[in-house]
This record gives sequence, C-alpha cells and structure tokens, in this order.
Amino acid sequence: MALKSTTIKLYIYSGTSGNYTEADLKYTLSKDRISTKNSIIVEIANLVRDYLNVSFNDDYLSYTKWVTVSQTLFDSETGLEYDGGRSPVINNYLAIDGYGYYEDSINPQLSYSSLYTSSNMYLPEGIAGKFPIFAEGVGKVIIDSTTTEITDSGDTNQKIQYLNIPANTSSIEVYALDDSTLLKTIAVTNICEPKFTPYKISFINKLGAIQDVWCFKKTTETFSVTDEIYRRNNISTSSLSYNTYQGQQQRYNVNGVTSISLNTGYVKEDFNSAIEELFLSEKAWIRFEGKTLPVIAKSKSFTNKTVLNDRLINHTLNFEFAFNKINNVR
Amino acid sequence: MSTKINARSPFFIEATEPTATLGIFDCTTANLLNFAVSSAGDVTEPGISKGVIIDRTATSFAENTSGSAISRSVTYTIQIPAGYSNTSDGTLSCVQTIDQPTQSAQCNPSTNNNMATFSGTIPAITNLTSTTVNLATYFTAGTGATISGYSVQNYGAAAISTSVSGNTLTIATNSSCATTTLRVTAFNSADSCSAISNIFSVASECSKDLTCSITDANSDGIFSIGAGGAVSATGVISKPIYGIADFVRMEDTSGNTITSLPPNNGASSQTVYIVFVFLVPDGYTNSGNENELDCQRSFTQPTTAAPKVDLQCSDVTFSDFTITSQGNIIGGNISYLGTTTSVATSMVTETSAIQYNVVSSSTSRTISVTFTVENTDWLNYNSSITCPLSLTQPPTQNPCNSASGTYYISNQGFASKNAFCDFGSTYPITKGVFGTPVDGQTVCSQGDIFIGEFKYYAFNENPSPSGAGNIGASFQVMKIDNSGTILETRTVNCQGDTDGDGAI
Repeated sequence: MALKSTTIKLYIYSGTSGNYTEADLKYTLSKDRISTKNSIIVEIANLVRDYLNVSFNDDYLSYTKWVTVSQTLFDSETGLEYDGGRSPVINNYLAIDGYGYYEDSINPQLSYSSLYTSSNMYLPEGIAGKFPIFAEGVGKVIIDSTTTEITDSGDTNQKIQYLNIPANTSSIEVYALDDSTLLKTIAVTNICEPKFTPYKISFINKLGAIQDVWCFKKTTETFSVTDEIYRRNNISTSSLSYNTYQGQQQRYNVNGVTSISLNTGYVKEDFNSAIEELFLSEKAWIRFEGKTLPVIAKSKSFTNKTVLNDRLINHTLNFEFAFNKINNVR
Repeated sequence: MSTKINARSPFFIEATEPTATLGIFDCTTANLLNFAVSSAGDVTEPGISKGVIIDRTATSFAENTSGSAISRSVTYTIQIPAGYSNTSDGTLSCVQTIDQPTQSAQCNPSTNNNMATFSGTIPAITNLTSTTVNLATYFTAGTGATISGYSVQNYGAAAISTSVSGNTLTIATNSSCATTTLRVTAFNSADSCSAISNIFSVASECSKDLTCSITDANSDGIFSIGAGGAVSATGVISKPIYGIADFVRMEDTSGNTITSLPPNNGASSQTVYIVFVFLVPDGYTNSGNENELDCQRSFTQPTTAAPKVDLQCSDVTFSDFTITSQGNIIGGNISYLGTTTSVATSMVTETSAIQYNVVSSSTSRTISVTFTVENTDWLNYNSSITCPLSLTQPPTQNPCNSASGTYYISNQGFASKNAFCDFGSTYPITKGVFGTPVDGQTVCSQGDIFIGEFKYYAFNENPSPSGAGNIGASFQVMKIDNSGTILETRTVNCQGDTDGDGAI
C-alpha cells in the first residue's frame, strides 16, 4: 500500500479559520507521486499570493487570508481514496504578504508577536505612530505605562493589529500570551526637527505588515521628462511657402516622473533592518501633501552602515513616484 | 498558533501516505489497572496499558479508622500517545474509584507490636544528582518483628530512579529539571501490615524558570508545559500536556475557576481562552512558596451545530427522470435535505450527448445529471454537482427509428404489378428507402413509414433511371400497404405485353 496521487483543493477566504464555502475554492491541483519518492510535494505560496491584495491609504488594515488545504489521498493499490477517515487531510494556514530570508529556511514562520524587526522607532515630536503586532502571539503591550490587552477573535481582519503609539511615547513592550514573558522592547525616539519637513514612508515589511519609516532631514524633489520628436512637412502647396513660425520638428508624448530623495537623519545601527526591508518591499507609499501616494524605491543597492565604519548613520532613500506627472490614466 | 504562509517565499505542502488511525483514545484504551488505596491512605498508582500518567489529583488519603470502607477517587491525567485521532487533544482525564478499607484491628499499631512505625519527616530533596536516605532514621521496627523491606512509590518523573538496599534508599537522576514526589512503605516480617512515610518532593538541579513555552526545552529534552489541549463543542476541556509542573486548576481570563466552558451553540467555531494554573516545582528558579504559573492558551471551540459538509450524490433523490423510446432524456425532480425540488441544469449521456439513439429493446443507460445546490445548509451551496443516474430506455414504437439497410423503389406505384408494362413505358427506380425488401418488413422513408396505398412499386438494390417497365429484362416489384409493410414481392417481365392491357 502506497500513496498514488493527491488532489489538493485550496480554499482562500477571509473571516475565521474553517468557515469557508465552495465559493472560496480557488484552485484544484492534482499530482501523482513520483515512484522514487515517498510523498508528494506542492508549492502553493504563489497561488495564495494572488489573493493577498495589500493596499494602503493611511488606514493600516489587516491583510491576511485563511488558506484551507484539503488533500484527497488516493491509494495506489486500489486506486481509490483512502478510507477510515484518513482522507481528505485538511489543514488551515494563515497567509501573510511576508517573506523569509534564505537563512530562515524552508516554510519560514518568523515572528508571532511583534511584526517590527528593529528595536528602535523614530517619530516626529508630537506625532503619533503605529506599531504592528500579530494578535495570535501577543498577550499585552505596554506603551510607556499604559497596558493594552490583546485579544484575537480569529478573524483575518484583526490578525495583524496596528496599535496606536501616542505622541511622545518612549517605549513599547510586547508580552507573550501569558502576559508575563517580555518578548520585545522597542525604544521610541521622538525627533524635534525644526528645519526640514519630515516625510513618512510606509511599506510592507518582511513580516507582511505595514511599517512606517520617517525621514527627517533634507528632501530633494527632482523631475525628469520623457518626450518624442517627429519631423513634419509644413510647406503650403497652395502658396508654395511655409510659415517660419511653424517648427520643422514637433514634440509629442511629453510626460514626466517626479523623484524624491529623503534622508532619515541619524539612526541607530539596529535600524538597518528597517531600511533593508524597505528596499526589498514591492509596495511603498509616501504621505505627501496630505495624500498617500505610491512610490517605487529607486535605490538598488544598500550599504549596511555601522557606527564603526560610518560613525553617525544616516540613510538616503531615493524614490520615484509610481505615476506620471501628467494624468494620462486611460 | 496558526501556521503562517509568508506568501512572498515558497510554501511547500506535503502529502504523505496516511497511517491507519488507532481510533479515539479513551479511558478504556488507557486501561488503568490495580488502583488501590490502603487503609492507611496509601494510594497505589494504577498500571496503564497505553499512554502515560502525567498527573493525579491525590497521592494519599487520610488513614481510614472509621470502621467502614470509604469510597476514594483519584483523577489521573493521561498523556494521549501518538497515532490516535484525538492525540492533538493532549491529555485525557480518567477517574479511578475504589473503597478504602478501614484499618483492621490487626494493623493498628497501638495493638500490633509487629508493625513498624514512622516518625519524623523525610525532607524535600533539591539539586538531586544522587543521594541516599537512611530509612532507619525514620522507620522503627515493632518489638515483635523486624522490618522485612521497603517499597517506594514514585509519583512523578521516570527520569528519577529509586532503589532500596537494606535501610538505604538511593535516589538518582541524570536529568536536570526533573521533579517527582516519593513515598516509602515499610513492611514487617511477621504480617502484612505496613507503615508509610510522608510524601516528599525530589527535584534535580534546574537553573532556569519554568515557563509556558513549549519550545523551552532543556538539554535533556524535558519540555515545560503547554502543548496540546482542546475544547469540545460542548465545552469539555482537555488539558495540554505537561510533564513537570503540578496542575492546580483552570481559570477563565477573568480569574474565575472553571472546570468546563459553555457549549458553543453558535453557527461557527469560536476562539476561547483558558488559563491553566500550575504549581512550579522545587528546583526551578521561579519556584517558591506555592508559586503558581499561569499559562493562557487559546483554543478553537467547534460549534455544536452539525458541521457543514458537501452535498454528495448519495444524499440526493432523483424522481421522474425518464428516457423516451426516441432516446430523449426527460428531466424530473431532484430533492435533498433542505430543498424539496431542484432543476437539472444539464442531462447528458455517457458520451456527453444530449440524446440516445433509439433501440429495439429495453436498454440500461446511465445519464449524468448536473444541478446547482440550492440550500445553504450544505457546504457546496451554490455550486454545481454532477450525479450519475441509472435509467432504462424503452424500445422504439416507430420501426423506422431502428431501420437499417438501403434500397430504392420506383417513384410511381400501380394498383397492378403488370401496369408497369403498359404503354411500353419505363420507370425510374431512384427513391431511396430504408429497411429490408422482404415480405413483412417495413419500408421507411425519411425516418418514417412509407405509405404505400396498397400499390406495387418496383425496387432494386441500386438506383436506376430506367429500372422498371419495358426494359427488356425482369425487375422486381413489392406491394406496400399504408403501414409501410411489404405485403408481397414479385418478379415482373414485360416482354409479351404488347397491347398494353397489362396481361402478359
């Protein structure tokens, strides 16, 4: 007796685990066992990601999905499904738009508590912030001396919770479900920046949550234009002349893209991880002139700065706005 | 905790050959045997066939001097072994009940001078690697007998071993963070009466806190508390597995002691939280004076409502579906729990055709009926399922539906077969018909019977523009009635009929 094949149904849905309907069936996969192998392996992350559409309008919502994998197993001896309650095998997973590094190994599970990898947060003085946590693994969070008990209803719309960090907070402590084991402490530094206008960059970090990085120092906005030229014939055949005020070359398809260069100001070495994740993010936004606008990181290389090498650490971030200057959305 | 799919990295799932489940592990499976409580209150731990006892509610009772038996119960917490369908529940509680006999007059130490006596208190032992206890310090033989031997009851970790040689009890372990409680019984050489010691705790060295984390394992592989556990739809709680601490009680998140939860009568499963309170044993850095450790766990409590399942074909009743003699499939009623009737969206043959060919005798058919599940009680609500349905197709009533064979007849018929010879004419035989040109068979044309009006028609296997009449050769004719039946066939030769009267 051996496994012959499997038919895998992927149900992807919001709400609570296991509460899916046939309408949530997104994929059905079938695969035979390779004769020299003992099991059948299928990779599903790409399929699942099609249904994780993270968007952001300064609203900090929980973008997660339940994935129920139903494996119907067939016996090579009989060709039939295994009986006795051995098939189908049903497992539930929670999909998040995160990723693991190579050293995190296969099927990375990563943090079940704080969804913020560095231990420092920088906020403008007098400005509140957001701190992402994974509700399943956090019992309480103490922000300065105020305790927030975390509850998990099981619903996807609150698996990632963004706690409000009041203005001028100094520390965040994240505790395990037992409310006594301290898992992480984040030092919050409130920056007084009287000269430059701080800008907030929000991006999807390694752990699948929206994370904010404030850039306090010099900002440079640039603008590049693309166009095309064609040569035209401006001879009037009736008078056999042409107007000298009409050019021989004509410009068309003119548009422009705005870029912006930001500086974080001096941050600790530990903040390298946040910048690294920002560079690796597929989705990022800037809060710019009262609107949340999508940007694309233009910088393609990142230097891991250290106090030893660089003394005071400032990161320069270059972005391009993810749209044309002239509205040509059709 | 949910297993996460970090969707930007690959996530692999593996299908393996399922192992035969051993079924549900219950107290019968555990098969606790030989539980006993002596008159002195000494509990004899039951043997267990399957699983491991990880905790008990009592290790001793008060001495029974009441003169009558007292019913005693101990609840044993058993770790469910792997391979059972409820292994993930972690533990199972099994109650053992037995009558504690009253102390017999014979075993009353004040009247039986054979009995050993116990005095003092064997102290708790900490930081154990190996140590000895001189039992003679605590047990004194009676004046009428000697101490014949000792037995040691070990109520905890198997990692702590005990042995008795003479009056010396040796306690040893190779494990750190192992704890147990022990009790010693002394027997005398003259009768079956015994004396018992106090229960004392033993703990090996452990320079760390006991925590709720299941990942907090020491080098000896002894895990702290927390894995497993479950809450049933009706609210029955199965405690998580624990191997070190002593379970004290369960609480809700408000700190109220609970033994069960309310049933979940909602429409869907819900997340519930239970705080398991344990006593931190000696040896751990966070042990102390009855120091308790609260471990909160969340569980998914299923609903008591019947779980939604897919509507299967076996749940469906089909009625009034038929196949006509012409091979057409006629739809009927589709009924199943929650919906009295449903309409088929598709009915096809085994070859996905919408109609069968006619048959001359009854024929078994299996059609495929597709319909939409219209009741929300089913998991596959609003989706289509296809079910096979066995029906019988009756034979056709029209013989031309099953007619085979082609031949040709004349376009013109005559009341007399010899009329073909009149006037020296010839007649074409070009009208194609179906059937067999023999008496009694039916002549079919364009799927229906050919109405012959009891006339004679010339016929031939092949079409011929001048196949009948005065053709200088014989030809064949057939008489066809109004049901298309061939009444007779004849061979005609027009040679000799020169006057045109039809007589040859």
